[in-house]
Amino acid sequence: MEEDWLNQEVNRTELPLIEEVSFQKHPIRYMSYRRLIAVIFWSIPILALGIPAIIAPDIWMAYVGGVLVVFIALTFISIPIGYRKRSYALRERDLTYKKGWIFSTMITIPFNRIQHTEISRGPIERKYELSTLKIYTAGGSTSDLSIPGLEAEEAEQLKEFVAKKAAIYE
Amino acid sequence: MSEEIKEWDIHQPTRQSYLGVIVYMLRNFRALITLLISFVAVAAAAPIFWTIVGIAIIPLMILFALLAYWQYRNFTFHVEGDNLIIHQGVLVKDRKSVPIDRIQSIQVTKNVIQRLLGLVALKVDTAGSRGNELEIPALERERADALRDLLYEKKEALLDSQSATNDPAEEEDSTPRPKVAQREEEGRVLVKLGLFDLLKVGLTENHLKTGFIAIAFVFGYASQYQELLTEYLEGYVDTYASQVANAGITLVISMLIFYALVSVVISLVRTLLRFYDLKAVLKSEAVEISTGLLQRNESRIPKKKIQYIQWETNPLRRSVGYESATIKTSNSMGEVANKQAIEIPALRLESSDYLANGVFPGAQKPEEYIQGDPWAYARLYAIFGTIIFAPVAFLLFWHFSYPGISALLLIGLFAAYGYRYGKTVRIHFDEKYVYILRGWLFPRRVVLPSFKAQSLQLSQNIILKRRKLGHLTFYTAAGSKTVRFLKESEALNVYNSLLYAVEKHEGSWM
Repeated sequence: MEEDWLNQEVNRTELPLIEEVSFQKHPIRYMSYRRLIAVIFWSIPILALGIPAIIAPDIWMAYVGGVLVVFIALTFISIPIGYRKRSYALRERDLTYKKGWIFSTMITIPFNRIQHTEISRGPIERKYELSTLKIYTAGGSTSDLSIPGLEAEEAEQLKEFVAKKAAIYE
Repeated sequence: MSEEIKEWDIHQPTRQSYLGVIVYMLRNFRALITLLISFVAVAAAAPIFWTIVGIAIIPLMILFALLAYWQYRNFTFHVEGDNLIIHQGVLVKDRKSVPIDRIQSIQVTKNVIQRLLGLVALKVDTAGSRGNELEIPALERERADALRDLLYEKKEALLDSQSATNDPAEEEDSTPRPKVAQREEEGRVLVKLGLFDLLKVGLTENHLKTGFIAIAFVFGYASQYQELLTEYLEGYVDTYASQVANAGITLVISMLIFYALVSVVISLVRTLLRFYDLKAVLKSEAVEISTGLLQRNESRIPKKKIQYIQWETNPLRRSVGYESATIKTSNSMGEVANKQAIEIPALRLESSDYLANGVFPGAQKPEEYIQGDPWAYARLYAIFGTIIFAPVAFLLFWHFSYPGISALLLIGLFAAYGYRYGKTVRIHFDEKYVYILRGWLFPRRVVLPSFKAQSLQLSQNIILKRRKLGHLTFYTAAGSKTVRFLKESEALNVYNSLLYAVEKHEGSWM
């Protein structure tokens, strides 16, 4: 197999380094999108607790409400921090995505290992003109990558770019 | 019969062996019995159920037998152009078509019934398409072999013609593809298990694990019929409960012995069923394994499809000079990864090396490794230990005052084990392979060709980030492998080097 490249000695200092790549942030709107999602998400427990609290107030509801407030506050605090940690980078041969504040991950998928790509837009994403780019590799769903909150147009371009690159290796 | 097979035209829709009716019939009867059993709980409550069953059973059996006949009649297979076509179904007619060049592997298996009838099942696995595994459950042996060879031959011809039209630089192999005749080659027998070997394998299984599996199985099964059981057993339970209280320690000990015995027996039986007459042969292009007592499987794993091999052993098994190897192949989408793992339970060390070198030419046993941080493991285990033992120590302190606190020593012991374990977590890579080692009592070793990685991930939590440590995960088409608590700089070095290896690689990797 491909002996020609396997035998090449690579000087470690000449390796392309992922640390030195410049990463790109999502549009600021993505934060608003996350906030709206959070509002929708938390409105359910708020209603579930709030309505009985008005009809038949009880002391335990205050405790639960307190915990709820803490969680909601944490959610909203984490949105801008999480936003700052979220970024992607495109190189000639791969795509890298970083995310996470308390648990951070960086994942890189080489284009020659991509099976197919997909763009999805939910109703809320559509409101903010955002798109999610999904990238699939072979062998189950574990190695899939999904990049939410991309400019709709940019997602389209990214997908084109990735698909074109991936097609070379088909 | 062989005359018939020689003259058989694959392009004509062909039925299976007429004995297939029996295969289908028994399958249907089994489904019927399962159905009836699931009604047993109802039956206990409503005796009229038995009357209904008694009246209905004969017509039902006739119906299921007729169904079997129609299943047999409507099942045909043939090749049309570059596709394998299967027609089947009684009420809902179904036509399945598989592009032959997408076929990943073809397996020949037989269970007890098929063996008694002299039939085999042919299973065709394709990649990337969910639910597209085909099974032809009742074929004569000769026809199955003929069909398998024919499909392989056609697949190779198709791939050849495809690569001929493609850019030659993208050709995945420089060597010519093996022709069917070459598959008849002898190969080297890696292992052939006799009864005595099976005994050794059975006795050196990880009994703790089989015990747990058995218990989980029994409980899972019993809980289905719990209502029924409690109803019958209610009378006994009270007396039993008082005995439990009296017998105390004796009971616990006898339970432990019972557990151990049951685990060993189950291990032996499982081993016998799974690995009876196991034979593994290493050929130039593939590994061939046949194994099993009641359900006999013959699989051929093309070397190119092997994603990685994992060797495992335990102190017992090592003492008889064996280790086990699990061969992981690319799995079709959505399938359970373990289904695609083929285990060779007992390899002598030299066969083990032979397998490694045969499948992964140039793989060595590296001497230098990048180490995980053992102190990070110690901390992790200390945290686990605290969660488990701190409440225990508190309870003991409550009851027995200060001596109870000695339970806290267990946390230290846990941490020490973590440190010892962490010391064994190592990774090495060269131009071709990644070697991952871990485990102290149960050492585990993985060899993974670097170009088989599909994506890489570095994960850190906020504490690890400050300590400049991280976990590195390799995703392959056969699942992922993670190495924990590497130094960030070293992990990034592996990350960059492997990406380079993957991106430089041309051609197929699955």
